[in-house]
Amino acid sequence: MALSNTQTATLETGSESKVAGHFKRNRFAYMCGAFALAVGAALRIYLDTMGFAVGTDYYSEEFQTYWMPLLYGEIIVLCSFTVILSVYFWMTRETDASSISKELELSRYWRLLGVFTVMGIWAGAIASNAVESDAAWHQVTIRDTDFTPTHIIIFYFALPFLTAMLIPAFIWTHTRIPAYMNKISLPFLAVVVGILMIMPNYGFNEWGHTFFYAEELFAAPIHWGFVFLGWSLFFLVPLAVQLFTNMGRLIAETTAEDYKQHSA
Amino acid sequence: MSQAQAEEVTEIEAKRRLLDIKSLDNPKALKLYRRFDGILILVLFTFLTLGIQIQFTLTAGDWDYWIDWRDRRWWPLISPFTLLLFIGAFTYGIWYRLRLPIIATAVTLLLCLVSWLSRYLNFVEFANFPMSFTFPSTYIGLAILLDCALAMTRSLVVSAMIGGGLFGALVYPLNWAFMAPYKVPVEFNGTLMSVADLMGYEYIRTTTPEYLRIIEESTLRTFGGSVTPLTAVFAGLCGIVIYAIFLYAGSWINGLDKYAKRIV
Amino acid sequence: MNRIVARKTWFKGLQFHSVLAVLALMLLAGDVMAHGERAQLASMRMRTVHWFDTQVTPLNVKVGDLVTVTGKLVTSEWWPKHMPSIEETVFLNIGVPGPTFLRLHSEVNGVPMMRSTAFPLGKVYEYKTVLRARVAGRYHVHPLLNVKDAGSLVAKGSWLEVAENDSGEPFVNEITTLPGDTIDLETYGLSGFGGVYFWHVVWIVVGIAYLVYWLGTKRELFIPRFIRIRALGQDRANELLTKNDFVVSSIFFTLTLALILTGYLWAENRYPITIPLQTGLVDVEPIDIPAGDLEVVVDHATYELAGRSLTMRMNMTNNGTSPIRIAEFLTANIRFMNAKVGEGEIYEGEEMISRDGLTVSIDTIAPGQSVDVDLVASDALWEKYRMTGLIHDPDSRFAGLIFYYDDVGTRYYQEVGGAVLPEFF
Repeated sequence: MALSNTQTATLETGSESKVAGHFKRNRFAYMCGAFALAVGAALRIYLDTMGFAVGTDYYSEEFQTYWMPLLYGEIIVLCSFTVILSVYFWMTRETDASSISKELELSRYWRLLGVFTVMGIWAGAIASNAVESDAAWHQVTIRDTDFTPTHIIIFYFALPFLTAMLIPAFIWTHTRIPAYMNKISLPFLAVVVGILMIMPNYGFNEWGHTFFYAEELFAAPIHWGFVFLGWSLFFLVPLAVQLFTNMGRLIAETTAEDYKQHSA
Repeated sequence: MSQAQAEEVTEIEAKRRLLDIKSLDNPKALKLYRRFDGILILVLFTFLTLGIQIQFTLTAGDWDYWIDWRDRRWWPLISPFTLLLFIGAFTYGIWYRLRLPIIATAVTLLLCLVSWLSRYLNFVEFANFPMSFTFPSTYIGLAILLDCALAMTRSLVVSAMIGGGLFGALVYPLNWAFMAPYKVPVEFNGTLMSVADLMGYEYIRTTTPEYLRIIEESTLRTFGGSVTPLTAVFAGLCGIVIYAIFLYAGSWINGLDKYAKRIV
Repeated sequence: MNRIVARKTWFKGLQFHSVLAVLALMLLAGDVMAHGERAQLASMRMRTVHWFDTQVTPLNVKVGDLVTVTGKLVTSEWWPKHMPSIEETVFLNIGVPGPTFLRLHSEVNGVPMMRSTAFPLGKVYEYKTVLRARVAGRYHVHPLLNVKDAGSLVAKGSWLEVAENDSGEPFVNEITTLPGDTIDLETYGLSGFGGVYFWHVVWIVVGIAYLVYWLGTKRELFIPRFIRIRALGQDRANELLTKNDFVVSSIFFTLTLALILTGYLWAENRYPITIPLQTGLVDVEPIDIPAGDLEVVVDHATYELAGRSLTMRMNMTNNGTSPIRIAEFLTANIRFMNAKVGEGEIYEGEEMISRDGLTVSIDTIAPGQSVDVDLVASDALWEKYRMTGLIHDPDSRFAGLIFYYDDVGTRYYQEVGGAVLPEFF
């Protein structure tokens, strides 16, 4: 049920410039960013309160009551989020790039930057909260399961949530922005795949911790798979180059003296 | 594509680029550029934070978490190695495309800020360690040397030789300013220990036993206690080499702003 | 209500933690019985280290009070050969959630244990650790051994209640250094001129100033610079860097080098006597297991799943001059005691005891007597501590300590072990 584009630009008609007036605030980024931070804060408070209280023994009833349902809930929420959003964006994809006006296109870049901002806020939250909580936990408590409280939060929510945002964003970009339609952006793909692959890498991590690596050294080679996959962020540079090229051109064109506002 | 078609495409592209350049004199366009740039910087910096936090914590984290790991032999070698690796890959693209010598400072500053937040949340509040035992090291001074070397010489290769070398060599002197008090000797149960060793013993880490520390051990050929300067020189070499290698990797990645027809 | 409630100060104003913690406590019931000791494979727990006489005193203290953990351990002769051995490197540690206690002293057979050591198999080690309560809460305290490349070996835990101290003053951990200064390790080196905070603030300010110059004072940033460089080409792209950029960069470069040097020299001058981090293994003289007069040969052993019991048939010969009574079988930290003999001290707060869990087919073995004896160790603790997993282990063998007494009440122990077969019905 691919739709042809019937939307028109819905830009505000400000006094200084129709185009410039639209890009003052990014409500989408504010709202979703605040929501992401709220979810992160809630998880942090849960970890702080319930981590050492009921999270040190996987085989206790409390652990099964207070930590495992959280794990199952996270998996269900993230899978549904990714699948529903991705399928929706794909099913409502646009096929006629020529019918998308330049203003609409630029406003979609603005939206894309909003999505990246939310991801960035989440990335910052992972960096400041989740990554070292795993170190602080495992270096002071005995590992008795693959599903320790900090793993339940970082491995099964924080990092996958980044993927859960990246995949729909990738599909949305490639079905809504003319420069990306009918082709695949290699750097964008590299970022998505790299971050996604962190999850399968848990398999190696846990297998290794179970069978051949018994120490809690954070810098151990067994963890370097995550480092390598983190290098997928290097591809942000060529991705930024693509965005500079496309957004720069759109801004140049829509603000040019002789540019005529698109009319529906 | 025939040659005539190709020339036509190039001609169109040239015209467009001319328009891009003209837009730089247009205040309306500049206003938009600033707005988009602001978000791009935010996104770049937040993802840099996540990237360096994953990279650093999983390759040099243990030395940075605990004061009783920061020895003369391994810590000043491993930390600049892992930082320069990450910095090199980003610096190439940002320098090549934007001529902004900021990546090293941005990465180390962000790492420092996020480490403080993370140590407080995870090691002090969550796991109850005193901050005096788990405060982060700083690398900001080294990064400024590297970035300034690039800004002054305007050459990646020369800056790698000067800045990369200084970055590796000066880790110990830079941190010594506030690390020296932790190396003051103490007598404990008839054994000589440094204050840092004693803290490592007193503040219990259940799964971080004493033997896990990867720190300097004496050898028959440790002459005259010249461990620190020797390590500094070798770390300088490693800095130059790893920085150069990852600048090269960055140059490869920088060229990947490409599109594919399908995901193979 | 048994759980660890460490005091938190985060979100002081909102007291979120306290509210949530109270809610959580109201909702929860039951004991947190174990912290890692139930996870390992049953056969591994039975064949590595036998901990006994584990004692934690006192069990109720206030922040700042001392707690002593003592006990003995025997390294098993049945140590799995495929696993890195305790004969290589081992560290005596304590299993508590984070540094809720300070470790003031620890020793094995009288040797201080700040460093790691090695334990040969089949020997006895007597350990002692002195702790000082640091954070109020309720904790399950376990003696513990970290065995290099193998993992943690956990002794049974004891619940320890730590109350706030009466004065409510912040915890202080004072020591005197060799140069003669008395310092508080809780806050040492952090604040004041030249401290950790000072230097970090200095460098953060310098770093921010540098970034502000490049990102805050330029009219054109990412996209416009990108467009200009693309138009200029790589050969002329350096034209974007102004004279000002050069001057500012060289000032930052010089200033940074000077600051690094100043900091280094200042610290060298302020702390003239410093030493490198200290490490290296220490030696501990082991004690031989006291050789009693009982000779034991294990004939066979079966584990009955439904009955949760281990039955061992062994041939015992009493070579001594005193009659012998079998009092206890210890494996994987569980004490199966023979109620008929009634020997063996039970410590305050001790867990994992089956008071009449051991049945012995003969009451006394007379001097010179050689007899086949059936020992049945049976209790629900097998289930509770996940020992029933024995039949799922890749190496179904067991080991344990038998404690026996002579007629004057002297205790002896001997390790037994061998293959074990499951019985399903």
